[in-house]
Amino acid sequence: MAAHRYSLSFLFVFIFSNVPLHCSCDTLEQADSIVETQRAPQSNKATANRAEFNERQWQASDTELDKDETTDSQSLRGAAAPPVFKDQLQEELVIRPLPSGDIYASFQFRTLWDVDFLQDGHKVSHYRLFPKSLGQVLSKFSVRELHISFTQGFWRTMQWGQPFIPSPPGAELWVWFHHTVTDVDGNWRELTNVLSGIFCASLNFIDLTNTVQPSASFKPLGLGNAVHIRPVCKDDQCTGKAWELRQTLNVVFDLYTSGQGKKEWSLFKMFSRTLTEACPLASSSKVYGELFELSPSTPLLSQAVVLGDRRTYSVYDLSRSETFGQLRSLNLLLRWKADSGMKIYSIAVYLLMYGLCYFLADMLRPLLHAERYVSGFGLQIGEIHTVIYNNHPYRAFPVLLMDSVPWYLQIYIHTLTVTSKNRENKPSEFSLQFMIVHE
Amino acid sequence: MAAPLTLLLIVAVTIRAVLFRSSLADLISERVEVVSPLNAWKRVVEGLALLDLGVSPYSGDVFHETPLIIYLFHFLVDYAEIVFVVADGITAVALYLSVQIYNKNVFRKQKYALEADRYPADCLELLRSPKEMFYIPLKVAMFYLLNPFTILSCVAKSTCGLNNAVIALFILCTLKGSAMMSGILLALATYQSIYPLTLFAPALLFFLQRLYIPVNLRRSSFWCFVLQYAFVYVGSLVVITGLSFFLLGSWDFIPSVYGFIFSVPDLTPNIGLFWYFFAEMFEHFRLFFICVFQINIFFYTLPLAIKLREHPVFLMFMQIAIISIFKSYPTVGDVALYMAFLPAWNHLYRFLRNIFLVSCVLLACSALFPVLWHLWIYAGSANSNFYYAITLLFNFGQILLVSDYFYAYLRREHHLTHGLYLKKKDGTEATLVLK
Repeated sequence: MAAHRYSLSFLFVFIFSNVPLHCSCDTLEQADSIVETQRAPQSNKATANRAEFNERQWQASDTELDKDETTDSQSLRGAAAPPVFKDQLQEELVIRPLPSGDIYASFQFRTLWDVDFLQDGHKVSHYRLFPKSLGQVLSKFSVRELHISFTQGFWRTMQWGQPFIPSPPGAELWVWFHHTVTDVDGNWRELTNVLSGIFCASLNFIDLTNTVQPSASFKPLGLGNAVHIRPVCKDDQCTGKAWELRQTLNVVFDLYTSGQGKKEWSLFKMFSRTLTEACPLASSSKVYGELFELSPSTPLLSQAVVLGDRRTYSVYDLSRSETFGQLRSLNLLLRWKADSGMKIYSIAVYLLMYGLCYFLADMLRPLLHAERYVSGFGLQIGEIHTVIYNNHPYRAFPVLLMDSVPWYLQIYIHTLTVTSKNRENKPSEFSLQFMIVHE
Repeated sequence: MAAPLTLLLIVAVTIRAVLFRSSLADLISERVEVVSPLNAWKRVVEGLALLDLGVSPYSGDVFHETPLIIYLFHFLVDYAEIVFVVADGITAVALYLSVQIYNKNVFRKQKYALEADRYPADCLELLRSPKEMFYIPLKVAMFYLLNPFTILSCVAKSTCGLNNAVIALFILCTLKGSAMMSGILLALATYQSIYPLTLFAPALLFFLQRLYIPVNLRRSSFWCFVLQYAFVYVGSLVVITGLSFFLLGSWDFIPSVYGFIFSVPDLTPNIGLFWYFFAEMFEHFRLFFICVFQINIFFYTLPLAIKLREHPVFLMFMQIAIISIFKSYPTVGDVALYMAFLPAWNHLYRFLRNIFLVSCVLLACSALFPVLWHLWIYAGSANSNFYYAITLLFNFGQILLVSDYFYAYLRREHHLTHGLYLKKKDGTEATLVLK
């Protein structure tokens, strides 16, 4: 990659998530309406806010569904009546400059598929957009919801704010099984082995020795059971179940600045290519850039509420051919204008932008975030420190910390100390669960 | 003799107290030569913490001591240091009294044999006089209390000190002739770690000798006594085990304590022979090798008992030494216990052949243990092979020591029956060889 001046990726994240929905609704963005859920606030899955947000969205865009789909298919394929497919793919790219000068690019590919495995006798044999390997896995193991993420690198929450979907370094797998599953442990073991084959990752090492079944934290994202939260639609409007496959790739690029404080980036510099066309199988394909000083400029703007504050995005709709301009390619770039005759103005602009960035950094600072480090030396003894920061100006939060420790890391419970503000503290509730001991 | 003993006790307590208050105490508690997963103090505290949290102390594979220890320290955890110093003191006093009684017995037997004219004329120099035997009990107590191994074990608060105290009290009760107490204490020692089971044979032999019951399998008096002693022993063992069950309310402790001792799942390096073997071995053969290694300890009882049936106290010493060398998680505290007996066999000095080699090996290994551990774990420039080499050498030194004393003892007995200057059939000088 000699053409690159940027060194690649602090962070490289794949996130796959399947969320079955009650209804086969869709989430199309309109140019001036609220943007969709993958950039919804709050990384914590267990909040009611998000549920309401989802609900509002689904209901708002429900009526637009048929009209838009017909329009799309007509413009692309002509006058013949199109075949109605049960699945559709939407792809998006969000580019957000981070306060520390790095660029956060988040790809998201969502496949919505209207089928129900869990009905008896309902076998699926035709797979179009939804991958067959995953579909078969879901039906065989009676999976209700599945999240898998692979992360390389470390997300700097303090400098970059919250990621769209937080995930720890390494591989993480969350699965919710359908309630008809009797042998959860056996199912889990087989599922990890199958997934490790599909993704060529050593997930089969996630065995019972480093698996936990959380009793107090972490509830499923999608369908709620009666006790907990978040059905996405109201029952009487939903016609059935649908699967949503969400594949996300998050990358953070390290900008190589030229030393003049100029923050210049472009799609070509990051990915060594420009966009020439949208995916032909996708029903919607968009690029969102966060600052509106981008070129080429676009008339489309949209706003979203992210992490509690409203952001404005420039929208580039790749399904419209005029986005690509005369060169048949789209290269988003941000360039600072600094003419020699307007130095004072540019310095003022620079300071203003710097101040804006600082202000943004304040806004982006997360309310709660945690860090962990290991201390000690040698192979025999050590300590694990987990530090939780609360950045709220005046409010205190109760924190539930769930930690799973593998059997070969022998920790001593009596050495647990909790200190807050340099004072000794005791947890109000401490629950210990020993899982299977190695043979 | 009370005054020197008291002085010795004061000196020992002072040394231990000074070390407890220094920064070395934490360092010593972590040394793998001094503590093992069975008797580490940190694990006892962890077990107590788990008990306070309402979880069984045996969950999580951390705590492997018996429930009686947990209940003892439930009340005494704040005075733990005093408990261990007192245990050391009890051991020393018990050993002192035992060796005193033993010496009296030896001297009495010697007197009768002399009067019966059973000794050949030229071996009179091998006989022992009360004068030379006068300071032996004090030396035994000193060897135990001032042994660096014992001091390290006490400062680390390893429960090995408590085990040693029970075994020393058992020896005292046996030598005093109280079969009941001896049975109960042996049951307690067996309950702590299974290996003192092998001390049943020497204790039995001692009592039979004392009561003038001949060891004849056809005699009913023999079986009568054996059954009585076995009944006391097994009965106390059952009572103590049942008590543990009622204390904690579950049988968790049996797989955690005895299962742990027998199946050796934790391969933390120590001064024993098990860890390296089982780390390198394939799973397939693990059971076989566990059986081989464990049988090794119990196996020597019968041949030694047959050979040393006239000398049960020496048999006890040999048995304790074999337990300390071949047990699954030995520590230097176990080594210190049998080393305390060595002054009692002072008179064998002239027959020892390897004593210089053995003492050099043991000293060098004791010095090299921490060095190679540091090189392996902290510096990263050595590996487990270095440490295991020193372990092997240390155990080799111990085995050589024990076998050397065995040889010397037997040789002296031979001389006492056949005369000091042995001649072969053709009149040339003969040497005795241990085969």
